[in-house]
This record gives sequence, C-alpha cells and structure tokens, in this order.
Amino acid sequence: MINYLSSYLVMSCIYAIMALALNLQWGYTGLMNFGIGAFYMVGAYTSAILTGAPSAEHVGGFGLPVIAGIIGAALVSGIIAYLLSFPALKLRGGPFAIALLAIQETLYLVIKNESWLTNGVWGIRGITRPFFNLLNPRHYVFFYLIIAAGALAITFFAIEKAVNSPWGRVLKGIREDETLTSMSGKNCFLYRMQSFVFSSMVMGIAGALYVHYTGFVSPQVFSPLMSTFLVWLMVMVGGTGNNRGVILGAFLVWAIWVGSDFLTDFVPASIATQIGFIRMFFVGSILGVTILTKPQGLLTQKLLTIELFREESR
Amino acid sequence: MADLLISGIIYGSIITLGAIGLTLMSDILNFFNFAYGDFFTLGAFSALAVLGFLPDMGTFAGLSFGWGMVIAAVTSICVTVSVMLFFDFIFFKRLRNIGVTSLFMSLASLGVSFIIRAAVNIIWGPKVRYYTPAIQISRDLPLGIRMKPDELVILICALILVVAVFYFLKKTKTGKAMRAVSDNKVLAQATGVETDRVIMWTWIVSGVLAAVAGVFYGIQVQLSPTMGWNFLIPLFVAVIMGGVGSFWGALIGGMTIGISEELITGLIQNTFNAVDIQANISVYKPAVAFVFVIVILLIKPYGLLGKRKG
Amino acid sequence: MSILTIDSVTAGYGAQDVLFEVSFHIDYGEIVALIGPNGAGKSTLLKVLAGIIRPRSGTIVFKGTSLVGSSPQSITGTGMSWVPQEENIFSSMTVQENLEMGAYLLGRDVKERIDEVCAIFPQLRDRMGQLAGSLSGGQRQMLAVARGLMIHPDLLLLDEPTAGLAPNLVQMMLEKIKQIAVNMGNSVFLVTQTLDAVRLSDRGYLISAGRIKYEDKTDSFLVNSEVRDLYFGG
Repeated sequence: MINYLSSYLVMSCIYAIMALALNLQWGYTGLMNFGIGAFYMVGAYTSAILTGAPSAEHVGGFGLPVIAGIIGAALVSGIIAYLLSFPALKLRGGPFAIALLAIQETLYLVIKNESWLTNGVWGIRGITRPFFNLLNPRHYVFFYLIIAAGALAITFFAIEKAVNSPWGRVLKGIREDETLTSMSGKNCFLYRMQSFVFSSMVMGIAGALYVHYTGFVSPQVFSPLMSTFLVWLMVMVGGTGNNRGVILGAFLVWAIWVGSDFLTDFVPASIATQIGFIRMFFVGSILGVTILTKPQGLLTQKLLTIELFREESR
Repeated sequence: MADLLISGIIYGSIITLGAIGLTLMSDILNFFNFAYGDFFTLGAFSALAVLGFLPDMGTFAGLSFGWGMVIAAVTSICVTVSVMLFFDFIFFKRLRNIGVTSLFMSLASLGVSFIIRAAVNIIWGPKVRYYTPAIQISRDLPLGIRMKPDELVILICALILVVAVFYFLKKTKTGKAMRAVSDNKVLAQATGVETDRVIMWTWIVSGVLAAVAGVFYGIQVQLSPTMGWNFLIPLFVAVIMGGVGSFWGALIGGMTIGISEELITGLIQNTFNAVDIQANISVYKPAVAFVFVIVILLIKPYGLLGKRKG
Repeated sequence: MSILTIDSVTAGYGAQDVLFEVSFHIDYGEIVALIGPNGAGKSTLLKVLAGIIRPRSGTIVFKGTSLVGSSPQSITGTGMSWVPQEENIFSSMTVQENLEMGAYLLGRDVKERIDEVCAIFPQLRDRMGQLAGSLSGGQRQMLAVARGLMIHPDLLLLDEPTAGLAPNLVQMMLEKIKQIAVNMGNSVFLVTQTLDAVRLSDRGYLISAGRIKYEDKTDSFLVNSEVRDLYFGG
C-alpha cells in the first residue's frame, strides 16, 4: 500500500514539474502550448539514449551517468525550443497552439517510426536507474521519491524566483500590454523566447526523471492525453498563474487518473484491452463536470490568479 | 506524377470539405474546436455501423458502393450532427454562457475529442477497417486522366456539396445571418439576428461537412479511430492558411494542402525508393502541412484571405 | 409625451462604472443632441440603450415598456435602431446585403423599404453590388445610417454620424438627418461633438465624466458658458 502511495507521489512530483513549466509558459508568458508533450518526450528519449547500454536495435548506449542524461535532456529540449522560437513565436493564440500540436505529432511520428533511433514502438528497456544496485529494490521508490520531491522543490523555487525578479516583471508587462513594453525599449521576443526555452528545458528534465524512474520508455507513454492534456488540466484545475495551485492540481488530477485504475476490475474481459480508453473516458467526463461546476480552478487565489480564464464581460 | 496529382486532388477535396466546416465553426463560435476531427471519425464509423445492419444492396455500376452507402451516409449525417448538437447543448453552450475564454473552450474541446476517440475505440476497436473488401482499379478517362470510379464520384459529390454550402451562405437568410455574425457580431445582434440560432446552424453545416468528408475518406482510404485526429492538423492548417472564417480561403487552403501533401511526400518517397532507402514517408504528411502554415503565417499573419477581427 | 425616458441609470464595463445616475427623456418627433468631451460616456450611454451593456441600476422606458435586461435583438424589434460610431457596417457584405440585414426583422416589403431609404441616400443606389468595405468614409456613414433606417425605427440612435467626414459631407449628413426626422417622423438621439449638429436639434444635453451636467433647448444651450468653454476655441 505504502509502495503504491509512493509511486503515486513520485509521478505526481514529475507531473507537477511539468505543470510548473507549463504555468510559466502559459500563465506568465501567455503561450498557449498544446504540444508540451514533445519536450517531455524528447527529454525522456535523449536521456535514455545517452545513458543506456549499447543495443543492436537502436542508436545509443553511450552508457553515460544519469546526471549527464538529465543535462543532455535539458539541452536537447532547450535547443529544439530555441530553434522553434524563431518561426513559432511569431504566432499567437490558436495558431500557436496548433503549430505546437503539429510539432508534437510530428516528433511522435518520428519516434514511433524511426526504429534505428528509438527502437520504435518496442521502446527502450533497461535504462539506468540511479543507485538502483545499491538499494533494496522494494525501497527504491522511497529513494526516488526523495529525488523527485527534491527536483520539484528546486523547480518551484527557481520559477518563483524567476517570476518575481526584474526579468519576471518584464514578462508580466509583456503579458499585460506588449506594445507599451516594447516601446519602453524591451525586446519582447527575447523575453518570450527565454521563457519558452527555459520552461522547455524543465520539461525535458521531467522526461528524464521519468525514464530513470521506470527504467523503460516507449512512445505510448507520450500520447497527447498523458503528456499534454493531463498537464493542461492540472494547470487549469490548480488555477492559472498560481504556482502552488498547479502543484496541487498536479497531485489532484494524477490522483483521479490513478484512481480510475479501479475501473479495470469492473470492466468485462471483452473490452479489457481498451481499458486505457475507458479510463480516458471516465477522467474526461469527471473533468468535464468539474469544468462546468467550478470553472475557475479549485485553488484560485484572487490576488495571484491571472484573469486568463474569464472574458471581460460586456 | 500524374497519379500523385490526382490523388492529391481527391485528398484535397476531402480536406476542403472539412476545412469549410472548421473555418465556419472557428469563426462564429470563436474557438478552435479540437474535437472536429473526431466528428469526422464519427461520421465515417456511423456509416460503417449502418452498413452492418443493412442487407446487401449491391453496388452501383463500377463503384465500390451502392444504395446501402447512400442510406448509411445520410444516417451518418443525422447521427453526427445530433451528437455535435448534443455536445454543444450540454457542454459548449454552458461554457459560452459562463463567458470562458477562447483558450478554455479549445481546451474543453480537446477533452471532448478524447472522449469521442475513446468511445470509438471502445466500440469498434483499434484496428483499421474498410467499408468493403473490394479493391478498385483505375480506369482511363478522357484527357488522359486515370482515376478510380469511386474517386470520380467523390470529386463530383464534393463539388456539389461545396456549391450547395456556397449557395446557402450567399443566398439564404440564415446563411446571410451567419456571414453577418462572422463579420460583426455586435452589429448583427443589433439588427435582430439571434446568435444562438446562428450557432446552431453553424454546428449543423459543419457537421454535415464533417460526416460526408469522413465517409469519403473511409471510401477512399480506410477507417481507424484516429483518422479524424490525424486529419486535424491539415484541416487547421488549411483554415489558418486561408484565413479563419473565409469560405474561399478554406477552399484554396484545403486544395493546396491536399495536393502538396501528396506531391511532396510522394516525390520524396519515390526518390528514397529509387536510391533504396527504407523509409515510410507518407506518415509525415502532417509535417508538410505544418511547414506550410509556418511559412504562410510568417508572410501573412491573418492568413491569405483572412480579416482582422475587431 | 416621451418616447424614451431614462431615470438614474448607472452602468459601466466590468467593475468600472462609466455612467452615474443619468436621467433624461426624448419626446416624440424630437431631435435631441448629446454633447460632451471624450470619455464622458456618450457611446456607453447609447450602448446601454441598445442593450449591449446592461445597466447596474435605473430604469429605461421606451414607448411605455421597460427595456432593462432586454436583448439587443428585442430592443431593435420594439423600434429603437442603433448606429454605432465605429464598425457600423458589414464590410465583407455588399451594400444591398447590408440593407437586407437592416431589414432582418422586417419580414416583408424589403425591396420597397430599400427604395424608400435609397431615396434619402441616392448615392447608395448605384452601389448596391459593391462590397461595403470598399466604400469611402462618407458612403460608409450613409450606409450605416441607411441600414439603421430599414426597420422603420421610431427612435434612431446615432453615435457621432459626422465624425471623420469632410466639411461638405458633414453638412450633407446633417441635412439627411433633418430630412429623416421631419419626413419620416422619427425621433433622433444624436451623440455628437459637432456644434452644427447641435444647431440641428431641438434640445441638447451636456454630459461630462458620466453625469448629465446641463440640459436646455438649443438656443439657450448654445449660449451656455460651460458648453462654450468646451467647444469654443477648439
């Protein structure tokens, strides 16, 4: 039971890191990114390839230490975000969301199809888990919980520091009135790009943390549902722009997802293979009801929540 | 090359149907409906279900389908439109009344898309399906064109449907009301247009287009639970390229995307085959669309025929 | 007999109130001008009347019926037609279609009404098939007002109908407005910054910072010192 709980907590921490990164992109920078899963996935695979053992089926096996994998994940995600900034950041709102969605879908296709790189749908196994050999396998999850929680804490403080710094204030100015801010001499594109690249790197790190926890990665994990939509829900449930809120949102939404696992017992065997979709259906419906009844998020702090939720009423 | 062009035109006309529906919806309902692709899927699968119930009614001369498909298609249209209106009623309408932002609506529609995709997966399973096992052969037509008879019918029907929608928008009172709302919502309200009715008609028109496009795609290619979701990206690109809300823009965008996706991926594939490189290029069609939209938007941020919304 | 009576209306956008306890009336067949500096709330007042903004408090009675809480559609249906200052036409539709939209609630005799309205604005008759967005500024204003007339309104709300027009067009538009009021028996409520438009009216109201500061018959209105301060010298 305790193991189950710890496992839930580890994943919640990883998702919370994703949620914080998304919050920085959307809540503080106004980037409606519907393709965040791309960076999570790229980070995961980068770290897997860098740290994994050599394999006949796919590239990689550099056998580097885990920390190198994590840094590599951050770098690759960051570089991709950097390159994308130039065309993508010229878009706004809906078109930006679609462009990022397209990027995610394209990268997803690459990873699924280019087996020489990623072993395609069979995934990569046997990824190094730090210090795994030194500990009792049954206690490993507690150890990793410390790592994950630590990473979450570092991310939280780093982001809080960033948004409350002069840099963060410029970002706020851009979000509230971009024309004015650029007229006062600030290069708005640069700030938005920095925010985009930084948060993408954080997402890459989250991906790396994931693979080093499970020891295994495959494309199915990074479906749009699990890697993008769920995180958006966490941010909306927690309250946009509210860093503490989105952490809570992450834990809450992940609890609902994990909780929906119980449905497996109630489902007739004939459709048991579709259990993933049944859970999707269930969670989607619950969240739909939540949206209809408490649309502002469960933890809105009036002062901190940015009014990105409700239109200016007429 | 010529057959790439032909299949590009067919594919393009299917995209155009969806793009017209999506452009109307995005414009009048003021958000990007990420579930639209799954309504396309729903249309295709509803027809499949109906076909399963009907007795074998034979096929039209030379085609892969007969009266059964006609009945199935009409039923599918009714089912798809009803489901869309249902979702509007229980969900999107309430969100509109609360006054949520466009992003929230888009996010909500993303959720709806998962629900529908899950339902389709649960009911029909993940495997690829076909309306009929029969395979069609291309025939020679005048002007040196080679086409399958199915393809010709799809092309003609798509054309008829596009003309019908055009007429509807241009000449009927409801169509004009829709255009007015798209042009200037506040002024339209001031002239007496009931926006709720216009919204309902928008769902209906785009629903018809989605269902028909889905059935056509099913006939032309295949059915799978993710067919619509995969279609979303070319659809959105066509809409954005042509300018949200622009009928002609959707037409031009749809045909351009369809033809270029086929041509570009086909040519790359042929080149790879010629030099013996193993690769399945056709899966990267969405990437072509994606590159297109980036380029277009950099030059013309509101799309080719888009208008700046007040 | 008043066609429109407003009493103590307070209204604004979101949390911000713009109008404070505004009261006034318009009688049948009158042309009434509303004058005031920028930001005084003139356009907001018209939007409240048109049903675009819901007042926080106060009453609005039009032809004996309360309008508070009514939708713009039903308000137009009762005979009050609103012509906004900006974005007052359907630029992607033709002149003819714009007029047809004006007659959306009419139901019948649309062609006859178009003829009647084009009698007042003959320049439109030659341009029926032209896209409204390609019209010149003056033609657009005419179309906007013509559109508002299509529904046989009893009260016409005009938001700065002469703004941005060349002086000769201003004169022409004012003449048309007089023509509309006199020949068609409409009451007109005119928001304006132009003194000439005030001269055209029967009565005037001065609004500043969301409150009605002064009201009088036109002759006395024009010699009032506050009005003169606002408009003479500028």
